[in-house]
Amino acid sequence: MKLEDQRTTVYKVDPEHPESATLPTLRTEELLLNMGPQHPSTHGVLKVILELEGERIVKATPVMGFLHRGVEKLAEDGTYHQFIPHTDRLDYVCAMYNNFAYCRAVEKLMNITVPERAEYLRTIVAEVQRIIGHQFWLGTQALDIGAMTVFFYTFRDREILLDWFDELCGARLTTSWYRIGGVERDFTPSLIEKLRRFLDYFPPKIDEYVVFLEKNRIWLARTKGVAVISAEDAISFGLSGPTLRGSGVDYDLRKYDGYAAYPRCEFSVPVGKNGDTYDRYWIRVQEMRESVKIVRQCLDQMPAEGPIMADVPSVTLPPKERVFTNLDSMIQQFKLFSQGFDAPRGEIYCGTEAHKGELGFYIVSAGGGKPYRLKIRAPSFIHMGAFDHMSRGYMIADAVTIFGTYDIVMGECDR
Amino acid sequence: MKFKAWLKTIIFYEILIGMKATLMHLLHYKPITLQYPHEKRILPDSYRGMLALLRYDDGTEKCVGCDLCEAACPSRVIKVISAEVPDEPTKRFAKEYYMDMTRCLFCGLCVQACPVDALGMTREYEWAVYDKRQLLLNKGQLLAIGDRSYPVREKRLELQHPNVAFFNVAFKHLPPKES
Repeated sequence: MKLEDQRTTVYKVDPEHPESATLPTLRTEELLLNMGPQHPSTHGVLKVILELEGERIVKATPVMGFLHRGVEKLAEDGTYHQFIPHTDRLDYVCAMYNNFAYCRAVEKLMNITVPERAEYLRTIVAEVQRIIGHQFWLGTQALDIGAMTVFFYTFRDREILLDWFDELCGARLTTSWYRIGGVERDFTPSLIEKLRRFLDYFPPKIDEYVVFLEKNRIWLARTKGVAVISAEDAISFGLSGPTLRGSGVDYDLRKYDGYAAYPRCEFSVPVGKNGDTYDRYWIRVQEMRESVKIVRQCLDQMPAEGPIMADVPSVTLPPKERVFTNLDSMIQQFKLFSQGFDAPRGEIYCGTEAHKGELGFYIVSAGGGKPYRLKIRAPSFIHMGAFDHMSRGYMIADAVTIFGTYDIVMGECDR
Repeated sequence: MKFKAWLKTIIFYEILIGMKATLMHLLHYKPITLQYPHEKRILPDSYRGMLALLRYDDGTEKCVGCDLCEAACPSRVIKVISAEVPDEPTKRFAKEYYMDMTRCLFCGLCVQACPVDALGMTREYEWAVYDKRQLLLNKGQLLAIGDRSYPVREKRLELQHPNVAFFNVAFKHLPPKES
């Protein structure tokens, strides 16, 4: 092949202006730019190959798998109980939600009903985790776009809740607090008091974050009308959570599936109109306010006493004090920890509304104590599928905004 | 109305209210950061830190070498080799006990699994070492961590068979961890 043939685009001679033929021919082609995997705004290790026409993105190809750890394969190796600590490491900023989604899937497979108090505890902690997730998102998204102060303020308040988690379960991020059929530890009075104090403290702080962003012309210019996706496209790409609701689709599993204690709480689901980055930001801020309401209602409605673990001896772990005093419980403990429980043959899918979207676990069981196959429907991964569609025609700097607007965490995306 | 909007544009009104919100924090200035190596957080009792093996008050090890922690561990940290106590064929103990802390997830499943409460989680977290092999702990090291983190030990009841002595010890009366 001759060198001249390799030119991809050559300016054609305009028949109306024949003098342009005398100009030297210019070779133009799209510029390939590797963004990542070390780019600080990619929230982990994500590489995107951008095809650029000037500053505009013509095509974007995400390259994923830099953080692949084979979590799904690890699940096939251990018992159902042993996989709970591994789910912490999926979306490492919001571990409680992963535990919750996984435990719910296994409970659906084993057909276990969780006691009422445990349902309330689970709802409260899940909503606290949602607040943490949205604070983290708001801080980092504002930081990516260029507003630094919001980051400090959101992380200041996030710290209070992480310390609360520390007291609840002994770890700030890798919590492993949920168990199949219930939860590991009960609330202490001091935890409830601290949470109530936080609920009074927090709503004014949301207004404080919003002061920096809502009227700021830089923020509005960078978010309004950026990464617009229509409702039909959002549904066909399988988006969920605030990314879907920003386009005006009123779909929230908390409302329509009605798991845990959500049916007993009154809350509204904020829905956007334009499907741009600003609407998704607005939804997340409103969801923080709704979460505060849900936690407050749950604390008021929660039964003061009651079991925190379902009593299904063949599946759920016995309480520790019964292990020390009762031989049957001791045998149960040995059997569950060494062999696991015998799951029925079949397959199950269970989706849970995490703060970034629908986090689903699909379990295929061939009987026995281990899952035959476990598939995680990670919202970050599904959202990255729409990246090419949403970023076409926008600037390179907007690519950063679009990563951020999905709230991607690569630990969950690559699994 | 239009004039107002124009005025807000040229005086950078939104920047001003942002600066006001920031500067208000100067009035009641209260730093929330900790100067880590000099001041440290007070950790809660339930903190899941370094693992330790515990003893009874008379100095005997609690561990009966049942291997349940090894089975419960999701990342195969623990290795137990159990043996019979010399002269007492009904009793067993852990002859060797290894923990590879480089793999540990600190999930607490081994502590939850232990049927004699021989494992505990301490509030130690400063375990950075220069050589990775220093994190492969043996029984003596784990007992030493337990000795310095759990000064108050559980009473061993001698009236019963030693292997079932724990049956009478209610879980709630465990002494709290000392810092």
